[in-house]
Amino acid sequence: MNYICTEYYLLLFLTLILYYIIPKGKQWIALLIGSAVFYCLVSTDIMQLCLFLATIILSFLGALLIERSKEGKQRLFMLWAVIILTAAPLLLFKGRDFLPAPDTGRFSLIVPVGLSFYTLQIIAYLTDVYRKKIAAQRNLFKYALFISFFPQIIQGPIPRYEQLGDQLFGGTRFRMENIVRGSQRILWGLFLKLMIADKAAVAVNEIFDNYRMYAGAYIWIAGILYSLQLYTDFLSCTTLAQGASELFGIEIIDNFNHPYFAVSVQDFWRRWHISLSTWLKDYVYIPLGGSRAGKLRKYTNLFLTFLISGFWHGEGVKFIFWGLLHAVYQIVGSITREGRDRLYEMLLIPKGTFAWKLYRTIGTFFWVMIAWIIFRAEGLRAGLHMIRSMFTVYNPWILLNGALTSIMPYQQWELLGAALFVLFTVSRAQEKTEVRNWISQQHITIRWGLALVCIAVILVFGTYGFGYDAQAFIYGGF
Amino acid sequence: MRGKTISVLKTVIFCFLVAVIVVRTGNILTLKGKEYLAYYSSVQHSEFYEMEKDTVDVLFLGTSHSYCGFSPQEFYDRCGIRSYNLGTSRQSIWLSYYWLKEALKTQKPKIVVQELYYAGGSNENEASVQKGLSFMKWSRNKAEAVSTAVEEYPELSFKSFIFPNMRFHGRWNELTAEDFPLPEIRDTGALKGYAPTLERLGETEYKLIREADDGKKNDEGSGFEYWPETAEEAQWPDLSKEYMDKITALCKENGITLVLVKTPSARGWSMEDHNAAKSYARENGLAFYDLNTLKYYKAMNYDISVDNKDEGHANIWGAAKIADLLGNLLISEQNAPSIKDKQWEETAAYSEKIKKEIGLIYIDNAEMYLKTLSEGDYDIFVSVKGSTSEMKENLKEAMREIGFSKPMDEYYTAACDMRNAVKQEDAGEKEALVEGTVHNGLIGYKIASGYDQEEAASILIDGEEYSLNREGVNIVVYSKTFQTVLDSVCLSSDHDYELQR
Repeated sequence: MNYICTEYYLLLFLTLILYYIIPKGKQWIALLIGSAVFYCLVSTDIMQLCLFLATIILSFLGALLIERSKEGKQRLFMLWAVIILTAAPLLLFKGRDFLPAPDTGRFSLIVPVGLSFYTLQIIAYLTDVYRKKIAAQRNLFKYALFISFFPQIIQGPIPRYEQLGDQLFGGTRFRMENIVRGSQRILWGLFLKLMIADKAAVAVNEIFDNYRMYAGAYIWIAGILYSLQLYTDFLSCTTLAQGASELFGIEIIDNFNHPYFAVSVQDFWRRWHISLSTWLKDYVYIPLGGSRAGKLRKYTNLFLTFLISGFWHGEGVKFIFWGLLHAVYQIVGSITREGRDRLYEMLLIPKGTFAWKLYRTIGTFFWVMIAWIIFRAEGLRAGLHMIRSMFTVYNPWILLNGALTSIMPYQQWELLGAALFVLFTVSRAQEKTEVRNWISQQHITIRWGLALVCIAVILVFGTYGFGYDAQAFIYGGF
Repeated sequence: MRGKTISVLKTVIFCFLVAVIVVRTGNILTLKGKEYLAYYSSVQHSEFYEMEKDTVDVLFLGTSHSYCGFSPQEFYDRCGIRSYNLGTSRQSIWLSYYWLKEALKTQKPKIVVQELYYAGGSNENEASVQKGLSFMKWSRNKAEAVSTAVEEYPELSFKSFIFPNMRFHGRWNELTAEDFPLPEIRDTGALKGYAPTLERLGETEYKLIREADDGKKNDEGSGFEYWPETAEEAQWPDLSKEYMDKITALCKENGITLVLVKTPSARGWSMEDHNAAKSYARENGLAFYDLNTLKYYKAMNYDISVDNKDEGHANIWGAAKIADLLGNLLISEQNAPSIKDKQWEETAAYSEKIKKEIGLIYIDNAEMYLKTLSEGDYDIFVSVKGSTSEMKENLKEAMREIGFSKPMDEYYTAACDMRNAVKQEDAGEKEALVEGTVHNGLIGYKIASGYDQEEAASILIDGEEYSLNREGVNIVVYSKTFQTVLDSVCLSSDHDYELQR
């Protein structure tokens, strides 16, 4: 089961009915049942379930113990002990490539669904209890719901207890507006996934999986498309999670803020995977000292933070390299900021103008894309090989002579282009206004027309069903 | 309260519109297309549901060997047997069983004829199963059939039968006019599940089955070849056996006579297959007519090189011969009723028409050809190359008879649409150009000839060149009935205006 299959929507529908027929104070029970059923269905092994349950119980009890511990070393020791125990499966899983023995035993191979996301969620919860920012939850079942809330368990966003807890346990009265707005988000999420991400994946997979056959402009195409695929894929799963939650009247935080409109890599990380970025900032970068203790310390902290980010994103050297590359981008960006500002002045491009934004946006996208190529490639060596060929092989004619149709039929390219145009237009509009509010103010024929056209377009042109195994959500693999 | 009512009403209407989109797109995307000259027989099965209750006396089941070999109209015209063909492409025995169950909901056939091509093993695939079930109405029976299909083919999913979009939406870039429910689709109901084919196999290696009671004298000098005698039997796969037993039981339960038949096939049928079928028939007290046996083959006056489309499928002439023999056998040996019924009376003319239309492609005489054109209901496109001043007067007269009134001495083009709208041009010193559409504006054509056309004679239909582009009168014939180009010929000025293909 995944977030775009019919079984998931059937479960969502049944949970929704149960949720709204239960009295307000007890509605969270419906969510817990839905989440439990979902988790059982997505798990492939009973041991995954057991480990997940054990982690919930352990962190639940751990938080209570931390809360009751006296200030000082004992409390800190408790925090670290519970965090290490809770994070052990994730650490073993992500670090298995670096361990000496190829087989680290059965236990380390048990990977519960959503491990990367719920581990960070639990660490944040424990730390917030330690910092007395929140009170520990005293009801195990409510806590279990907070950790396992099914619209977001697999791919986030990584929620904070103070933001989500009350919404989960408080309940909501039925409001048609929630259903409409939630459905709109789900529709948009499906559009992003089936019309862009999975369509782009056809070309991306062909080029990345056979990278020795392709060079030059092909790699540029693959790099750009993968950047868009990853964004729309991940944005889609966040949007679907937000949409499903909104049906229950629950607001989940935004995970993206048009990252490819960023004017610097630092700006990019304020807009990309926001829940992870803020988690790293709050629980790694700032505790390490942030930028308060001089430039050298700041750069070291940046290195460490992005090292952890790379480690979290996947197993293997290439992810570490990718994380450190982003640290280098930011450090170099910080060191050269003044020089670049002077260059813009010399070129008579004042800060904040359209040209300034455009050049910086393109530049930022370029550096991010280069890093994504490493991220997606078969390995670090393959990624570097591909990047080198982007600059050493000159074959722009393949963009014009129909060679790309051997990778994907021209109708699919046209559809992908049209869908990307829709995404760009909507994203530009979102920078200025809340698009859903604009839609809700329109005449019923416009509102319904948009929704029905979107449904028809996805049904007919979407990349799904027979012959197109829907791509698993990319971030679901983390 | 009023607000709530409006809200509920809006929700219901919106959901209804979504359902309309899902169903409508599913209908359009579901594979219909043509197999040979008719729509897939499974498309025609949607017409089966519209047959009057309890009027079908004989039901045909099986693969394409069935729906190409058993023409219900021929059975009616020749023997008065009211029948319907529920065969589908690569229909395995298990699928035949579910179609039989489906048929029994509205009909009480006296006889079920099971064609045996797939009894000994099938070459069905996911697509044929999906196609075979697409047009069966939803019921518990279809759900059971789909469950069986899903068990057999893991790549199939139950959902894809409920939402055909899941299976067929990849077809969006290959949709044609045939995928939209035009009135023409309904016309195929006249064929009652039969798919006419017009090609002829030609010489091939074919062995007949000679049984003990055939004797050896009556085929002397016939040139027939025979399968070597053997008592060995082919093994039917478990699934075939299981469902054949179910068909047998279901027929017994409903008082239906089950008849096993194999149509003439030069491939996929052997002495061992014959023996297996014969044993099964004997064990279960069923009639078995193998039309590959000397007795029946001779009785039909069948010639597989002429009466088959290919090694396995009877063509329109073969189907007529099969109906003649099998119809009489069903009446004389299985007590099939012979009854007049308007559902078959009304479609007789249509059946005759298509036979006549198809017959055009086997006419070799130029005058006869033009005469048939003038009597038929075709769209005719003409492009003359070079001088035709030497053309015989009788041929010129025949062309005028069709409607091409202008003298076509040199570089001339014309399109004749349903014999009532003729567009014609002569080239003069430049070019003759005629453009337009046929088939309710769906098919565009462009005919050109002349000095400005590099002395070529072109006939473009729907963007495709069909003209033979030879010296003389190039003619392309488009069939309204089959919505396809039927023939392309030339009255060649280099060969005394003989008809050339």
